[in-house]
Amino acid sequence: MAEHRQEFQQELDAIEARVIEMFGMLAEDLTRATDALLTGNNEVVKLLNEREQVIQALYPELEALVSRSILLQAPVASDLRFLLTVLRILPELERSHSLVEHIARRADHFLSGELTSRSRGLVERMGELSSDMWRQATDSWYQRDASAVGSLSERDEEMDELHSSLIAELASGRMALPVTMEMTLVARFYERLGDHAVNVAGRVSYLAGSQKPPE
Amino acid sequence: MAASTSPQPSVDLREPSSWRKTKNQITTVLMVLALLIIMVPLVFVLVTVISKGIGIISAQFLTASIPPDVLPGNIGGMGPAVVGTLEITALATVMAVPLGLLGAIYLNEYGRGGKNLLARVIGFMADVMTGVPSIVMGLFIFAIWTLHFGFSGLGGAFALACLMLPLVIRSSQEMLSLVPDALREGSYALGASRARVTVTVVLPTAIGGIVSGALLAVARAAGETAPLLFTILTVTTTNKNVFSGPTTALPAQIFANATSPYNGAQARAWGAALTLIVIAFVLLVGARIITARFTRVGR
Amino acid sequence: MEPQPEPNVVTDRHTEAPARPQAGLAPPRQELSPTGTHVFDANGISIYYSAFRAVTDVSFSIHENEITAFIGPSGCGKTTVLRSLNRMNDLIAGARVEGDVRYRDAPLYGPGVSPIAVRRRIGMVFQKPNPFPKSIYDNIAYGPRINGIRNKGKLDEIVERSLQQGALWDEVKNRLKASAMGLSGGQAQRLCIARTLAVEPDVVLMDEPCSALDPIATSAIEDLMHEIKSRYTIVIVTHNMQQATRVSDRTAFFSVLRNEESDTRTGVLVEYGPTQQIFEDPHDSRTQAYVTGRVG
Repeated sequence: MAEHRQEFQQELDAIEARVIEMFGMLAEDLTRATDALLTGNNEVVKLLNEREQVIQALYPELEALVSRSILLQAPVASDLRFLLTVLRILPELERSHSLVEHIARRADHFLSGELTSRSRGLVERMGELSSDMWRQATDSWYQRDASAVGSLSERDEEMDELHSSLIAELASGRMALPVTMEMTLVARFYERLGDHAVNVAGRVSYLAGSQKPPE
Repeated sequence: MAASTSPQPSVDLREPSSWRKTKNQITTVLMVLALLIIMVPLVFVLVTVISKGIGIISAQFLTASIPPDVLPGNIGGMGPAVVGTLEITALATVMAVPLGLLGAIYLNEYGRGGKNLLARVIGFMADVMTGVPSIVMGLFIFAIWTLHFGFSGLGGAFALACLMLPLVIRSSQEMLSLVPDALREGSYALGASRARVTVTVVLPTAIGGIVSGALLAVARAAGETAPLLFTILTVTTTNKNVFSGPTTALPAQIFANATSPYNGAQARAWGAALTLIVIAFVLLVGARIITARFTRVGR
Repeated sequence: MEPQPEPNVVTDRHTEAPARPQAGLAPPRQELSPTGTHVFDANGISIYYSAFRAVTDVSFSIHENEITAFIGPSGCGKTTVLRSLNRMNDLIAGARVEGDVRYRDAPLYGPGVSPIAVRRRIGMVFQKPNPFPKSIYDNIAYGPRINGIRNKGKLDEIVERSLQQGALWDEVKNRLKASAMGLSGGQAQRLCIARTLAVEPDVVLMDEPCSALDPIATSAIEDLMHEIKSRYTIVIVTHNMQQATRVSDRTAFFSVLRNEESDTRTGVLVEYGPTQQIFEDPHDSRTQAYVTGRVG
C-alpha cells in the first residue's frame, strides 16, 4: 500500500541526515583530539575550530527544522518521539563537540612531553574509551537500540574509575603545576564526554519505543 | 476603470460560438408551445363551465330540490345532489383514508427490505387497484352489495372508497418514505418502540403531505360518476338516510340532466358541473395551503 | 489491562542528581484504573450483515466514567461495533451478533432482553444532527415522555437540566417553543446530546458527533464531554485523531483485514490501550502506520 505523507517523511529524513552528520563529526574529531593531545601536535586545532563553527550553525538550524515539523505536521507516535528526541540530544551533541575542541586546544609539545607514563597511559585509555562509547552511542541512534543505555552505563563506571585514577596520579605532584592544572581539566572533559554518551543512549531508548526496530 | 488603456485580457471568456444558444432557444420555444397547447383544453373547459353555469348558481340552486326536467333552469336546484355528494364523499373518505393510511404505514414502516410477504402483497394489490376502471369498481360493488342490500348512498360510498384507497395508500406511502431515516434512528435511540416512533415522529413529520394527498383523493372521488350509477340509483329527492334507500349525487345528476332533451335540465346540469368544479377546487387549494403551512412549520 | 509502564529512569551524570524521568511526556491526564468497573465486556464477537462478516473476533472492555475512542480507517467496522452496544444494528435486516457482549455483566443479546430497555440506558448521538421537527422543548421532553413522565413541572425541570448539561440553555432558554429546525449545526448537535441526556442514560454512544461541525462547535462539544464524563460512560467513534487524543482516556484501533484468496475483507481490533500509549508508543506496527498517517 502506498505510503502517504511523503513530504513529511522527507523532512524527517533530512533531520535524520543532519543528526547523523553531527554524530559523525563528533566521532572523528574526538579521535583527532586525543591524538593531538598525546602527540602534542596542535595542527588539528584549526580544523576542529572550523568544525565547531559548523556544529554551532547546525544546532539552531536543526532546532528550527524540528520545531517547524512539530508545528505543522501534528506528529504522533514514532514521529513525535523522533522529533522530541532530536531536540533533547542536540544540546548533548553540541556540548560534547565543544569538549572535544577544548581537549584539542590543550595539545602542546611542552604538555605532551611532561606527562608521566602512567598519566599518559590513563589518558590514552580514557581517549579510547570515550571514542568507543560515542561510537556505541552513534550505533544505538542509528539502530534505535534501546538496550545500549544499559551497557553504556557500565562503561561509564569504568570511565569514572579512570578519571579517579588520573586525578590521583595528578595529585601525586610528579608533574609541573601548569601541566597538572591542564590535565585536571582534560580528565574532566573526558569524563563528561562519557556522561553525555550515556545521556544520548538514554534518550534513544525512549525513541526506540516498544516495537522491534526495523530489520 | 480606465477602459481605453487597459490591456486585452489573456483569456477569452465569451461564449464559444456554437449551436448551443440556438438549440436552447428552439427548445424553450417548443416547451412554451407545448404548455400552451396543454392549457387550451383546460382553459376551454373552465371557461365553458363557468360561463354556462354561473348564471344559474345561487343559494337557492344549491339547496332547492330537483324539479322535473321540463321546468326551466331558474326553478329548483341541485340541493339533493349537493347533499348527496357531500354525504357520500364524506362517508367514502372516512372509510378509505384511515384504512389507506394504515396500509401505507404498514408498507413503509414494517414492510421495508422487501422481505415481508404481506407488505409485498398489499403493495402489489394497491398498484393493481389504481388501474381498475371506475365503472368496474361500481359493478363490483353492485354485484356484492347493491344486489343484496339495495341502492343506497352507502353502496356509492363503498365504490368511491375502493377508488380512493389505492390513491391514499400510494401517496401516503410516498410521504412517509420522504421522512428521513435519521429521525427514526433518533427516536429509536431514545428507547421508543416501532409503534411509538411511527406515531410520534414519522406521522407528525409526514402529516402535511399525507393530508394533501388524501384531499386530492377526495377531490377525485367527488367527481366520479360511473361507480355511482350502479350503486345509488340517481333519484331526485334528498335521502336523509345515507345508509339505505337510493339517493343522488352531483356527478350522477349531471349525467342524468345532460342527457335530457330539456333546456332547463341542461342548464341545471351546467350548474351542477360548476358546483362540482368549485368543490374540487376548494379541496385542491386546501391541500396546497396545508402542505405549505406544514412545510413552513417543519423549517 | 496492564498498568502504565514505568518511565525509564536514568541518573543524569551531569548533576549527579537523580533522574529527570526519561519518559517522553507528562503523566496521563487521568489515572486509568486497571480494575475499574467494566460497563461493557465484548468477548470474541463477530457481527454479520446477512452473509457478510463485517467484524471478526473483537474483544474489549469499556470502563465506567471513561471516554473510549474507536478509531480506524473506513470500513473497519468501528461504527458497526458501536451500534452493537445499544442494539441499533437490530434495525438492519439480516444483522446479527455472534459471541458474548455483556452490559454490566448481563448478556446484551440474551433471550428476553428488550432492545427498547437497552436503548433507554444506552443512548446514542449521531453524525449528522437529527433534531425532530418539533419545538426545542418537545425535542428534549420526547424521551422523558416515553418513560411516562407527564407532569409539566417535572418536564420543565428536566428540559432545563438537560439543556444546561448540553451547554445550550443560555442560548435557547427564551425560545423553548421555537422549532428545533431553526438551530445551527453546532446548536442542533448539542440539542441532540441534551435530548439523549434527558432520559438520564448510563452510557452515551457517539458516532462521529463533530464531523459535520466547525472547529468552534467541535470544541464546545468536546468541553461538554469532559464535563459530563463523571456521570456517564462515553464511547465515541471518530475519524479525527486529534479529537481522540483530546478527549479520550482509552483508544481502540480497528482496521481492515483482507483475505487475498477469498477476496473478502472484515474488520478487526488491532490494538486497545490507554490513549497516551496508543499515540505515543503503539505496540502494533499497523497502529503506528495508521496514527502517523502513513497508511490509511
